[in-house]
Amino acid sequence: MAHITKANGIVDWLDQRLAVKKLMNVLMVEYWIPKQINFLWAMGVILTVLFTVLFVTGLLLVMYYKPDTALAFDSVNKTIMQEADYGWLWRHMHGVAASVIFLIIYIHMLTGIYYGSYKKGREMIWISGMLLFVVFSAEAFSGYMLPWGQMSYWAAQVITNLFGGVPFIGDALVIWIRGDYAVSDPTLTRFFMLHVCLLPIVIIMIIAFHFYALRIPHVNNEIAEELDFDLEAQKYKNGDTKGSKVIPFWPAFLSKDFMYICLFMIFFFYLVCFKFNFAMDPINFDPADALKTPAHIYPEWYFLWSYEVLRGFFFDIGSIKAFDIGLAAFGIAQVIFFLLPWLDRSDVVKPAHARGKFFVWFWILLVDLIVLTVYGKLPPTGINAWIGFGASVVFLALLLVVLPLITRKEKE
Amino acid sequence: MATSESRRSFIGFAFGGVATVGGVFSLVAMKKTWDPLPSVKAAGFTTVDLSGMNEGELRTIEWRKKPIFILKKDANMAKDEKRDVIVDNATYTVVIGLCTHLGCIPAYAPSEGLFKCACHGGEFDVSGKNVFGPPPRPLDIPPFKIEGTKLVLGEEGPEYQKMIAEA
Amino acid sequence: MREFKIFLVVACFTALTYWGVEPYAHSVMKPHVAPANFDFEQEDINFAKKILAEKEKALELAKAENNETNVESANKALELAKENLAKQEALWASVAKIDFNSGNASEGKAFFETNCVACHGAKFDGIEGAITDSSLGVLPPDLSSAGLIYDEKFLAALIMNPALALKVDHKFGDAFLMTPYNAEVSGENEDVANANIANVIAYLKEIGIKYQEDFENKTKALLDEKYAKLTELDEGTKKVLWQKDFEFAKDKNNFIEACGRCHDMKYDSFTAVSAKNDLKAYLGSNPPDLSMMIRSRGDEYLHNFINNTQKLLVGTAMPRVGITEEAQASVVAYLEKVGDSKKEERESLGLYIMGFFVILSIFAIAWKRKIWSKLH
Repeated sequence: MAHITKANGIVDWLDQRLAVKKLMNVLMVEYWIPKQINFLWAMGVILTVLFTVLFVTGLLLVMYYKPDTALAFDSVNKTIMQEADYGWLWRHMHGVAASVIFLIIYIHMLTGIYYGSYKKGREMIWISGMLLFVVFSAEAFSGYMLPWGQMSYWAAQVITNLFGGVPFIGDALVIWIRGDYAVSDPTLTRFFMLHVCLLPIVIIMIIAFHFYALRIPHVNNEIAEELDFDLEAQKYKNGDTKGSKVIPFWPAFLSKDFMYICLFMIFFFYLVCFKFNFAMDPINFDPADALKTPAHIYPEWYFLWSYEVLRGFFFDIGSIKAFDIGLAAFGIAQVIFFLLPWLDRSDVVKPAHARGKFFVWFWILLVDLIVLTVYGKLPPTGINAWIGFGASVVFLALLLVVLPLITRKEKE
Repeated sequence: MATSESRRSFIGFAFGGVATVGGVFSLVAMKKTWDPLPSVKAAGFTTVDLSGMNEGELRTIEWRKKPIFILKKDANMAKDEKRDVIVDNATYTVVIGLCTHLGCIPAYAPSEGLFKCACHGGEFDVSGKNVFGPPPRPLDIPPFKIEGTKLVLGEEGPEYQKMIAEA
Repeated sequence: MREFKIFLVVACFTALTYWGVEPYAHSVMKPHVAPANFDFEQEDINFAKKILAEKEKALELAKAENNETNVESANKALELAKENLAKQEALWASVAKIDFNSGNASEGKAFFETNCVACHGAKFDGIEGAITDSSLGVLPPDLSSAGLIYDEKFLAALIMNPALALKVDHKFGDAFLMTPYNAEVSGENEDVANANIANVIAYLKEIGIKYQEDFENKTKALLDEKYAKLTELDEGTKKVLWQKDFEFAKDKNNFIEACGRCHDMKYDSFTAVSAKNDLKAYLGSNPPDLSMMIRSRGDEYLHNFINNTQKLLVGTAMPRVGITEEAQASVVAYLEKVGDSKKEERESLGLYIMGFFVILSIFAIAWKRKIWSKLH
């Protein structure tokens, strides 16, 4: 039993019961971040802010949304968009944030790859981050279905069909996922459950784990220098704030992040109010029609690269069907980044520009991903199909063959 | 945050202040999203034509999802100048049919000329005044406006305003 | 500086990706069409010529491939395109002979009462049409407002060759509901027939103007009554709202006249006048509800599509509407007011929110500098 004395204020009262001062020290004031970092290190906090935006606007949308194929479209496009005060704002914010969060995730991931922040003790940070990416993808996909427009319906049709490629149980699996022989009302209600209940809970848990995974190996820095955090922290506490190579999370790191968040929000609300079509496809403002496929169907932009890997293999090889090759390549693309810490055979932790061949590899990968993304949207006809095929092969080769080879050489 | 005490400068408070202003505005917007929809508000007006009613007849209609009792008084029923609604020279009782005790719907017993509440035994006379049991006050009168032989519920006409002013 | 360089790299790759998946990809997927042209003669002839050119190219391609069946079908398509161009040129050449200025409205009325009333009414002038339901497939339009919202040359072309002018000849051929009126059909002298057409159009225009005046006066009276009741508003806001309501009522009326026989506008509680099953039997499918068209198609598409339906949706059963530029702008404005009712609020609020974050950024930068002054 702790010794409780008369408190001299609210903070003290709470501190005696909840140890808030110690908690704040551990979480904020004495959580040390390297000083030598650039704005790319602010992406984590921006992602947290965007997730919060999604969470809060999502709550407001659920107040009026009706998960029923007969009511969903009108509840979104009439009740939310035209009737409820500021309903349109929450929906636009929700849709745009869902799209922009993937841009930031990709920047966050590529930053990690560029500065080597995925290995030598930081594997769990990388893996939990990749898990977040996968669950966010599921969250985005299930959310995209809810307005029950043409794109919602046909995306659901195509993506659930993919599971038909699983050996032996494929067909039964598709019906199990849909809850019906075709995408219909039970499909919508179960994806609604996933979107507003199960997946958000999972995401919040993994975010907590992701943050926790940072504590022991610490945040990487711009030159990948190995710091003695205890020593540097002591320096800071002794008053040598200029000489110390670390800064406290609060207020130093967060003050910088708040600055980036504010600047980012100007851009974000420009998108929300003036340039939202990229995140809210016009075709989805046509109500779902099971008897009419739109002329062009494509996933949201952030799924395009893996979608292109899926359809890049458009011809049979021997007795193996194009569909199966594509599906296998797609499956590999989904999990390959999880293995990055082990595909990179070298134990050198340095920024890419200090790693020679790895530097070249990085930029080829980035360009290849952009090519896959753009050609994933274009109709897969004529020359486009071959470019898509080439880029898919390059993608797989870069990760499965080239990376292990050049990093093994680097080690020697 | 004790150690950051010294860093709490004016500029930090200013930043926090501006951010708070933004937060308050977004809370106001969120509050407005919770408000009843315009379509709900527009449905708050109900018009009833009283011309076809017989003396002594009770009609129950729905207004804002609540039952409204309209009773056309016959010669035997006591008049109540403060509560009677006069439409086209006939006298009516117009009340919200929810017991003022805990909100149950009283049933009309024509033989006794009483509205009796099944929940806790409250009773109201033909003018809607509480005469027995726990109800603390007479049945409430909804805002109304008289238009010829019609009654518009939800709008405040001069007769209603006068009634409220006298009560 | 280094930070800024990194930012530029990130921004450039982001912009490149955006350009690839949005403007570039959509320009590849969207059919390229000439903008809406309200000189319907030019529009139709240019369009027929463009199709002809396409078919010629297809034939050349087929010949180069040396595929006999393809060559044959390409040849057939080319013949059809040539025939279509000839038909269009002939129709518009005969329209060009009509002197619209010499039309006599009272003679036009007499002509209307003997020839058009078999199907069409002009209720505003007290004329009831003989067909008042959609049993033929679609309700024949009442023509009270026709002279006002439809282009005069289009009306003339429509009278002379309905299926061709409405661009539904591919679907109905000569069996189209409405019987044509021209010298060839009636056996009259061409000048007589042309004068009749000019007269009836003059009549429609005359009642169209009166119809509109009457509609506006009635609307004004209704609005005056409505706003007289709203005593809690101040005069300035009342005026603004009154004007908005007035414009909306006019746009809605144009929509009902031009589109309302077939299309619903669910979000404005409007249901098409013709019966759904009649429309489906007649057109092959139910015409879509137009509530969200402004968001799903955008105003440019809508303008081009209404102007010439075949340009963007080859083979559609929807007829060319033939409304004037002014009426079309009003119809599209109505679609926007219903389907994107918060546009104005969105754009003004957007600027305020961005302004707020500009101010907040200034404070955030100042605060960051203050704190980091001890760290660098």
